[in-house]
Amino acid sequence: MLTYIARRIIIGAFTLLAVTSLVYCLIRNMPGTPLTQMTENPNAKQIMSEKQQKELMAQYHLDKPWIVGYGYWLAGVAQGDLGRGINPGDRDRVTRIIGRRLPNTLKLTLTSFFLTYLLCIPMGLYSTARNATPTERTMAITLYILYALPTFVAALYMNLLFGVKLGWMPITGMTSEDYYQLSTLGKLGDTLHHAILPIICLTYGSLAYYTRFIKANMLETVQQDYIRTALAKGVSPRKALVVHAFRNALIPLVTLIGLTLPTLLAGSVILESIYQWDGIGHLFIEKVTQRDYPVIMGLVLMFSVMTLLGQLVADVLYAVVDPRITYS
Amino acid sequence: MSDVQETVESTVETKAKPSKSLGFWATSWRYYRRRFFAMAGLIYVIFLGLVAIFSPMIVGTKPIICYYKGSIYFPAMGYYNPSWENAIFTTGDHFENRYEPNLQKNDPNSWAIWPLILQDPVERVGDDWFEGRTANPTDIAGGPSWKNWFGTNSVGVDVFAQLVHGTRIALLVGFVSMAIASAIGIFIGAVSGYYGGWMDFILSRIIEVVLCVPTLVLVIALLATVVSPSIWQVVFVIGLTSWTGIARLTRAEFMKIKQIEYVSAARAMGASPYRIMFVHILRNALAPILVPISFGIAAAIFTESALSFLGIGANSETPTWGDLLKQGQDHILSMWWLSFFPGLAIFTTVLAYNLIGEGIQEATDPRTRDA
Repeated sequence: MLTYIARRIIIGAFTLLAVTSLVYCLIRNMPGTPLTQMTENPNAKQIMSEKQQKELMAQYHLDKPWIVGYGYWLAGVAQGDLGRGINPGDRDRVTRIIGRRLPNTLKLTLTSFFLTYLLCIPMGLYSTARNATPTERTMAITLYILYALPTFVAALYMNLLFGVKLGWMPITGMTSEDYYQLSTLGKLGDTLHHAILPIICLTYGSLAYYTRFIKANMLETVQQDYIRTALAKGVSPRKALVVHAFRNALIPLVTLIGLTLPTLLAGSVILESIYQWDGIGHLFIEKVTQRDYPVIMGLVLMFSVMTLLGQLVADVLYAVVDPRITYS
Repeated sequence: MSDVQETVESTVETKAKPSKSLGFWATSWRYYRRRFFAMAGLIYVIFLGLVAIFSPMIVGTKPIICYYKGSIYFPAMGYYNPSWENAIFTTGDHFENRYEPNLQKNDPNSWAIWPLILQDPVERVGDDWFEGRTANPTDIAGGPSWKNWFGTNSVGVDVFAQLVHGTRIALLVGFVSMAIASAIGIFIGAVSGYYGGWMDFILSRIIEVVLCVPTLVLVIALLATVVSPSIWQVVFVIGLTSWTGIARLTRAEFMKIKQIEYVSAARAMGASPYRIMFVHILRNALAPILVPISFGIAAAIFTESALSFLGIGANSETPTWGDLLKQGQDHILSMWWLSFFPGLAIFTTVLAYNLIGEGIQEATDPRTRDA
């Protein structure tokens, strides 16, 4: 097992190398550099002299070919330094820039993650127990429709209904204008109020997917002999379903947890830009338009590490939960 | 005695001519046809295809056929490609889209067959475009009405016309980008699954590299390398980033099928690896591969609309569904019809392709066929 993990990590390191060099090459070949993007911006605080520009170019290795710049970036990463943002509005360390936005994204994704698992298990079990009844059919169709509903369409429809028509929910922003005058409890309530719609948008799709997933797995499991044996022994149908069958249906679910790891940190580009939510997805779009290379690279590194880690965790968990699976 | 003889003979006769059993695809179609939702999805997509093909005949301000100064013209073709609009109407006599008054004025003998609904997807229909028709309302006044079924946008362009003409782009995006993705995915998956070994190792790493970065993030980064992307560049980028699922499935199928004896037989007969892969194995792997392709079309339409919605999508003269939805988002407080109808179009199309994918999956898999 340990050799397997070690091998995966070594292969993963090479994959990371390939991903980051590819993306670095890509962003360096985008038209415009961080400096031209800055001068195009009429609100730029200072117009730089040519000498200053040259100094900056040299400082960020923009005057050298991309492969050399990538080498410097890699050397920095090896020393645990992701560099600093180029944009004059935010010259902080990349880790800090990302760290500032991460809590906002986690507020949405973690809540949505727990909500999904909290709801999908009872819903999945319910649809297995009541399979093919009219209630279950309606539920299945609703879930299928939700699964296919694009998030931005759902967000707009909910904004129209709850934000504009009924006026219950704010349709954009993370906090109200009077946020800083509110009490601690009021602040919490205000944040929650603003987060409800984005959280629903983030949750419904995965909820529909997981519920369908659990149901499909459970239907396969309940047909197995050991369930019939349990029922024949006199175990109540409820107990046979929840205790005996569900334990086995859990196995594929565990791997899915590993695969959701990257989405927890990446957030949603679309939802964060609809709701003006200052999270990671929003940061990415912002930095791509500013051509802020170090920050983009930091984000891409984070996404890819999380994806690879998620896959590894999924595979390891698979072996942990299912003793039939071993890696050599 | 003779009776028995006869019946025996007749049964022998019927046995001698066995009816040809149905092939794999015919059987699958039989099972597919039984599924109500799968069929509904298929019919809806065919309907959208017809709408896309005949969009200039359904909504437009250019006549489908017209007789003008002694010749027959088809100005509506200009909706497919601006250069297909006969030059006599554009640079010649400067109609500027006002066909009805200009036809009457310049040639009293002219006649024209008009589209079903007289609205334009790009320009606002003004007061002088058609006799007896007032100009399209703008802003808040442009709600759904008998004249503008789905309302008009802030500058008075008809939303229904935009949606109908946007269908062409939406379907094109789905098909073309998935054609690119399938070509890449099937090729990489086939080579990787068939050869195995170090080839498989390298190709699997390539798949992993693309899989590592969230699709939308990768698409945004790729699109940023182009200053003002055309719809074809967007389609190409979507195709270039969405082949991993197809490749992984193809690889798994090929690894399974290459163990079957007929592949060894083909190899023994001297068939080249490429012939074995793409003539012999691919035929049998095609059914499961169709499933992610169908889901992929839905995802491609979603991605394209999402890009337009974020304001980094294609620059096309005819607005895409995502462009329309973006207008809806910008005017969400006052003009609900701008988000409602385009949202419905995107949603139903994505749903239909998902239903088709699920239908194919269930109809071609023997385990789920009879359910």
